[in-house]
Amino acid sequence: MPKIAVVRRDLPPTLSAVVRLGAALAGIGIAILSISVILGVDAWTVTERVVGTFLRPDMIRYLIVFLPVGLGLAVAYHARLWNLGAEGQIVMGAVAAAYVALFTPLGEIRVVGPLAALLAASLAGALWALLPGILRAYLNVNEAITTLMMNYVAYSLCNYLVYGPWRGRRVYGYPETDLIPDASKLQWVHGYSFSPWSLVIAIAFVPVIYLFLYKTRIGTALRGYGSSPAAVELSGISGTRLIILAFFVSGALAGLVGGNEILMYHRKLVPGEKIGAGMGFVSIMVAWLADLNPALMPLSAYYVSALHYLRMVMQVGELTEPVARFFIGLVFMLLLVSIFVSKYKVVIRK
Amino acid sequence: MIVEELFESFFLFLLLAAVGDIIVERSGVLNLGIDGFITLIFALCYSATIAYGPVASLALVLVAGAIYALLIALFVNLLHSSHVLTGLVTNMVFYGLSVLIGYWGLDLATERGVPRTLSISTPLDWRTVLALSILAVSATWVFLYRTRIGTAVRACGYNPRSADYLGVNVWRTRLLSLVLGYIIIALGGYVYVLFYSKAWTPYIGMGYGFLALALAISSLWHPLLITLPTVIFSYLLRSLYVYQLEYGISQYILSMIPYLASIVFITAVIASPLGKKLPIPKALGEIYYKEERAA
Amino acid sequence: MNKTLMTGLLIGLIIGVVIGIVALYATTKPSTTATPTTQATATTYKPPEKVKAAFIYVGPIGDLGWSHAHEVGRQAVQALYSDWLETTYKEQVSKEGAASVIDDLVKAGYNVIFSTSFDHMDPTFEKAQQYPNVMFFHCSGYKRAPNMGTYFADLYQVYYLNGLMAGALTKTGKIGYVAAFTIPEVVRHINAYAIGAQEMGRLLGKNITVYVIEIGAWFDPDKAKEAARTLVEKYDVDAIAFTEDSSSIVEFAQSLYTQTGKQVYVFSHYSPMYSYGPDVVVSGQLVRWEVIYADILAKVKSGVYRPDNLQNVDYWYLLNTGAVELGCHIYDNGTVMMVNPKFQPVLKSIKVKDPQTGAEVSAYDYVMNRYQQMKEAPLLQSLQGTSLTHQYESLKSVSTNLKAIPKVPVAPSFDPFEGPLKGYCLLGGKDAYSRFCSGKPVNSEVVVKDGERLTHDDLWNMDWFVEWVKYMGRT
Repeated sequence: MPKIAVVRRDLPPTLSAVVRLGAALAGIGIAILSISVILGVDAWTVTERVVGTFLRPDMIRYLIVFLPVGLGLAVAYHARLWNLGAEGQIVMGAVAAAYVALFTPLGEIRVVGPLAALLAASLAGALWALLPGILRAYLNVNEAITTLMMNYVAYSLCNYLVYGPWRGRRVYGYPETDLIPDASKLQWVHGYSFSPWSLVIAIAFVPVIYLFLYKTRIGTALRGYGSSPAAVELSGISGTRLIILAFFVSGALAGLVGGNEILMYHRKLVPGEKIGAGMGFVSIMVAWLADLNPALMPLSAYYVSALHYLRMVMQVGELTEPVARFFIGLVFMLLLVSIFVSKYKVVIRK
Repeated sequence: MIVEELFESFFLFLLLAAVGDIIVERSGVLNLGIDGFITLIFALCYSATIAYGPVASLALVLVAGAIYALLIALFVNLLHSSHVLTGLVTNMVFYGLSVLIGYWGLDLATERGVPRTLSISTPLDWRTVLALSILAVSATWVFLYRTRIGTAVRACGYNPRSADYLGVNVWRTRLLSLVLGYIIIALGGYVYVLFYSKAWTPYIGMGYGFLALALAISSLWHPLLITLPTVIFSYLLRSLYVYQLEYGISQYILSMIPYLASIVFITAVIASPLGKKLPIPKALGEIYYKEERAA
Repeated sequence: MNKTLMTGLLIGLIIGVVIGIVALYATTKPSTTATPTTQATATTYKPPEKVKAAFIYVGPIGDLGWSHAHEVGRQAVQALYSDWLETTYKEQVSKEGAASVIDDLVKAGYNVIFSTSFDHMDPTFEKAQQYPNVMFFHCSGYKRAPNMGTYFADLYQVYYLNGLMAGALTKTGKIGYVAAFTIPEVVRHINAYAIGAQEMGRLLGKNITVYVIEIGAWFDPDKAKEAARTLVEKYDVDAIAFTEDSSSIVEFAQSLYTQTGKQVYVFSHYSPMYSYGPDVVVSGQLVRWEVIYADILAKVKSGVYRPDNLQNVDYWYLLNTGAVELGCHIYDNGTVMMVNPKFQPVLKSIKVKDPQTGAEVSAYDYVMNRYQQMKEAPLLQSLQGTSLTHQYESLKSVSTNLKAIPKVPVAPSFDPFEGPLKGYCLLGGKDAYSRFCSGKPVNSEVVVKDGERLTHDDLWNMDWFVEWVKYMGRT
């Protein structure tokens, strides 16, 4: 009787990247094809829309979110720490940035204001991630669960603030704070909805995280900790500290993004669900698509940002928002299969 | 009367969803896909009831639960995908799909000229709800703690490798508990649509899956303990406004409670000496790769 | 992986991005500085040959609710002006995506953009600065710019009429309202509903109390249902109006009726919801955005509205314009069911004495008389299109020097917000925004003098409840 078995293998990184890229392209191809066949939308229209979205810089507005959060998550995932709390960390970063910009004199000062707000945001995100980090490091509490739950706590906390004590005086009773001072705003590039400075900051983290993970002793230990914690401990590096560091870094980057969302986009604190908007969860895909490699993260963030933007703007005729969501989900599903292909192979034995 | 307040169709839905989640997670599968499934099942149940009536709808919903379980199993067992990614991706797909399915039912109702609100003549009274929830909870307990398969399920969640050495087929056990769990979750969705909401609107159900997950955690995946947090929270959720009207307590503070409670409970249990003895699924989210034996 | 290759890739990437940003900046910078002056636009402005209008919705179009009502409006004007109008829409555009969706629409050549949610206000306002040649119209907000106007169709008069019916039908004298947020718009609707209920209740010797629950969401079927249930079970309420986008409360009342026979009267909100609760829906509020869209687009096409003169364009359309309507169902031929036939006999059998005329009429006729009074205001509509003329809307009449016709009516001869009214402040101090409450402590008494009619500003800034509204919990 032939026996089917799944065997581990290691594709060379280049080949693995090719497989992933192939899946990404094939996924889009299949989506376009099935949309035009099932819904009868002209295939050329859809293709034009998809290619157009991938080529236009509009999606940088989302890249600025996904890239740093993805980088941060990669740090945690390298150590096999399931930080699912980016969403909440983004929200808490936003809360801190809004606090600095609105309620401290720093908010009125150019350059210093935004920098202070972003710093506070990173710190808030890091601290928010630290709680699950400490629970994991000292008590071995499952971090996937605690981080997931912390998202909802962050939502509620932010909502409490905007519905209650922080509700603005010039917002006619809506659950929002007042606008932050002009000095704290990061202005948009003309014709687009992102700030060049935010993009620079986002890109700057690519080499920083890359060098941290691959060129420092701590980074190497972090990467090793995932597969063999014991070996790392033996080399004299405390596992507890590594865990806390990983959470701190990934929380800080998510918090930074949350702060940036306030300074660059919302310009006021709004209810938590509207700040995170599920982007913290999508970022998890970004990290894994790049195989946790910071150098490839810009590519995967670019791909996911374009898809994310596509969902909003693709709507033509029968191709409504839920349909777009469905197909983008399918593209991601195909990517999961590609991850499998690059890590395992199926063998049939007689 | 207070019992009528407590044991109501929404409670039953939440309890079934949480109990189903317990069965799934006891086998070590981190069940993030539950949120997309609940969104899907609300839409499917609504549309199927409009199209084929409540009985056929029940059958269809249960089958859908089994199929969804097979899909998750395909990814986490066969394709060795990360449980987290599988959950997130299936959520994305099925959030979208749910809207298409729901509109099918709404359109059908308009076409046939039937009211869009489902009319079920027999409401679930508190005795039925209580009886059904006791049944669900105790059956799950018996299954997990008093049967061979249940022991195997728990072993897979605790330590799949040693379970394997003891002769348990991890993949098959996880598949089984996924199917069983999702059928129960689907049943919960059926209760919600037919006896609680009686209607459908786009994306309704988003978030309830994660709430069920939180409840399961806060009971440490124990099918008997789950009753307490579910009773409390389902009541709290449905009576937020009483507190608002009478005491002026912010509903945003109240709505943090289940999530905070799940964190506090799990930490307390793991940290206390008692926790060492309580066999919670320690291998939750672990991809099980069966090394090929030398042959 | 090859280290040198990796480092090379990285450096290349960073350099590429930096060059890209610089290039982007260089190419786009001049266009911001070269904004044409208003005078230049005024002399050279040519109305567009073809108007391309895009509509941005916050929710799914669905088949009822806020976004659906706007979609009805879009399709109506599309059919009406098919010769020169092209439209599109984007649904489910959340706050964090609004700005980049506008970018996309502008790039696709849309020259008129309607954004239809409060969530879109800030992004639309900022984008209006960026695209001075595109016309923006925003629904429900308060920010305007030379190329951004605002519009709104308000339902307060209809809520008052619903309140009259609730007051006539209630047996317990306890009336409920499920509110999304206690923003001025909703506060106004609650007050109007409460004023109607109390007016009718007093004539019938009932003691009316209105209980309000705020659920903190525009769309949340489960929360809305639980709020309605709380009102019915805990506060003995038997008539409910609401501001929430789903039919959930209607469904709740209908299943309560079919299962236990308990009658709770409901007023459908925004969309025709009669079919969801034929045994419980009495009447409701309907909206026709096409009335406003047809007007705006015709003026855009004819060059009346230009990208430099929208600063004062502010539509505030009431019952007299037809943009809002009393009713709970729209028949296939487009006519409206104003009151559910099931409840018409009851309302016709209740007799009251109209304080205005002294005549004894049925509750049904009473409602219809008031409806007619508010519907007739020939001069009003011209005032409702710009922010400058809103101040005249509350004038009852203007005088002439002619003996034959000494007075010309302006506002409707009846308005629910006319003194004597007593209320209490929801907000106080610097948080309050109305002339009644700003600078005073919370819960201060509000007094509207006999015969004084509230102005547009008073309505727009309403931050107080009338006395018989019970709203304890502030979230």
